[in-house]
Amino acid sequence: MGGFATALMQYPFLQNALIAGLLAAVACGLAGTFVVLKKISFVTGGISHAVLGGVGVAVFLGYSPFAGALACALLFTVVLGLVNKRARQHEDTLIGALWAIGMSVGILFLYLTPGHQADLMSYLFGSILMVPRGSLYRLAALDAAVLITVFIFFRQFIALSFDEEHARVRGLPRTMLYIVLLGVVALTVVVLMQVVGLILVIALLTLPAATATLFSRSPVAIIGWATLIGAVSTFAGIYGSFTLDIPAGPAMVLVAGALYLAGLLLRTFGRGA
Amino acid sequence: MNIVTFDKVSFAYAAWPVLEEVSFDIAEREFFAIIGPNGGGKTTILKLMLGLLKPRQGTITVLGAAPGKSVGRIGYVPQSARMELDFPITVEETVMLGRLGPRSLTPFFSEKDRIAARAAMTAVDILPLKGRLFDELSGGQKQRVLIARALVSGPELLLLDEPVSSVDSAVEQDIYALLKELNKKMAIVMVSHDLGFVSSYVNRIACVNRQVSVSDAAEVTQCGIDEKYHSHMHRVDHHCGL
Repeated sequence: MGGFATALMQYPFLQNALIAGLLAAVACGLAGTFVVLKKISFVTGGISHAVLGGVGVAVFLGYSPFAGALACALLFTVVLGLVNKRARQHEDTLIGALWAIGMSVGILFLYLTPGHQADLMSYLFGSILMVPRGSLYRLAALDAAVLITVFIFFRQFIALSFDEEHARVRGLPRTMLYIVLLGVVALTVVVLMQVVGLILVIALLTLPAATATLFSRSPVAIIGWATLIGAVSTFAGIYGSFTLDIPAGPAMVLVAGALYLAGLLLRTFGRGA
Repeated sequence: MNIVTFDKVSFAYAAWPVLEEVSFDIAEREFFAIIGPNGGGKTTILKLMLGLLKPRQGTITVLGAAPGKSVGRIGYVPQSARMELDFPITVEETVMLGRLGPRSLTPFFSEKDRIAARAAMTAVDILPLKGRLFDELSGGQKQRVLIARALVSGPELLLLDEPVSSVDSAVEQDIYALLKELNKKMAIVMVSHDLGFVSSYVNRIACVNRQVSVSDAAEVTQCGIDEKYHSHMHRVDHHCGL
C-alpha cells in the first residue's frame, strides 16, 4: 500500500484514474439506485452495449468517440422510452435487437476505420489508467447533470418506481419521466464507459446499488451506500491493476460482485442467527 | 347529481369482449360495490373510471369530466398485494407520494404536504406507524397506508381495488368500517371478489360479468359467486343477477 501511495504522488495517470473512479462511483450510486428500484437492468444493459454503435460510427467519421457515445445513448433513451409507451409487449425483444445491432455496428465501423481496431478493447473493457486529465472535466460535467436531474426529479422517480399505475392516476407524465430516468442512466453509461468499459457498465450500475438495497431503509441511504461501495470497488480495481498488473475493469467488477455476495450471505444468514 | 356515469360502455382486450353495453350511475356520497367472478370485468370498470383504459364504445363521465381529467379529485387505492416488495420507503413517504401531481415542480414536499399527510394518516389510524417501512407492515396496515395515500389529496371520490383481498375477516370488517366512516365525506367505489360482509356496509352493488346489473345491497344474495362456502372459488358459468 505504501508503494501505491508513493506512486500515486508520482504519477498523474494514477491520480486521474482515482478521480475518474470517484466520479464513476457518484454516477453509479445515483443512477444505479433507480436501475435497481425500477428494475430496469435489462434496458440499462441494452443502452450500454448499443452505445458501441455510436462510438464506432463517430470514430469512422472522425468525430470523438465520447460525442458518439453520448449521442447514441441519448438517442436510444428516447427510442426505448417511446417503445415503452407505445409497444410495451415488444419492449423486451426490441431491447435485445438494439443491444446486438448496436454492438455489431460498432465493431464493423471500428474494423473499417484504419488504425482503430485496437481501440475496440478499450471501449469494451475500459481504460481507466489512460484517462487523460481533459476527460475528467467531461466526466465531472456528466456527473453534475446526473446529480441535478436526480435531485429535481427524485420524488417523481420514487413514485414511478414504487407504483407506476398510481403515478399515472395522479397525472404524472409517465413517459416523459421514464425517458428522463433512462437519460440519467445513459449519461452514467457514458461516464462508466471510460472506467470499466461498455461490457461491464451494467455491473457497476447494478451491483453497488443492489448491495446497498440489502441494508438500506431509504432510497437516499441506497444512493449514499452505493456510491461508497462503487468508490471502494473502483479504488480496489485500480490498486489491483497497478500492483498485480491485471486489467482494472474486471477487477472492479469482481470486487463489487464479491461485496454483493457477501452482503447477500450476511443478510440471509445474519438474520436467522 | 351523479358522480360517475357509464353510458353503453363496451370494452374488449383484443378480440376478447370484457364489457358489453354497460350502463349505470353512481350518486354523490354513495358507497358502491362492484362484485363478480374473476375475469368478469370488475377491475376493467375501475380502470376505465381512472382513465387507465379507454372504452371501445360508449361514454364515461367521472366528476363531470372525461376519465383521467379529474386528477386530484379522485383517490385510487390499488391492491396492497400488488405493491413492490422490498422497496425501502416509509409509511409517511408513501402517503406523501399521494401529494405528487403534474404540477409538483419543486423538488421537495412542502409543510402543507406534511400536514395533509399527517391528517390522512390520522384518519386511517396509522400515525404511530409513520416511520416504519411499508414493506414491514401487515396486509391490513399496508391497505390503510394506501388508503391514506389516496386521501392525502382530498378526493371527492375514492376508488378501491379489492381492498380486503389479502387480510383476514376481522381486518376485513375493520377496513369496511373505516370506509363507511370515510363515506360520510366522499363517494366510495370498491371492487371486491366476493360478497362476504360487503352487503352490510354498502348502499348498492353492481354485479359484473360482461354485463352489469345494479341492485340495492340488501337485495343481493348471489352475484355469480358460490356464497355458501364463502370461498375463493368462483363459478364463471353463473350469470350475474339472473
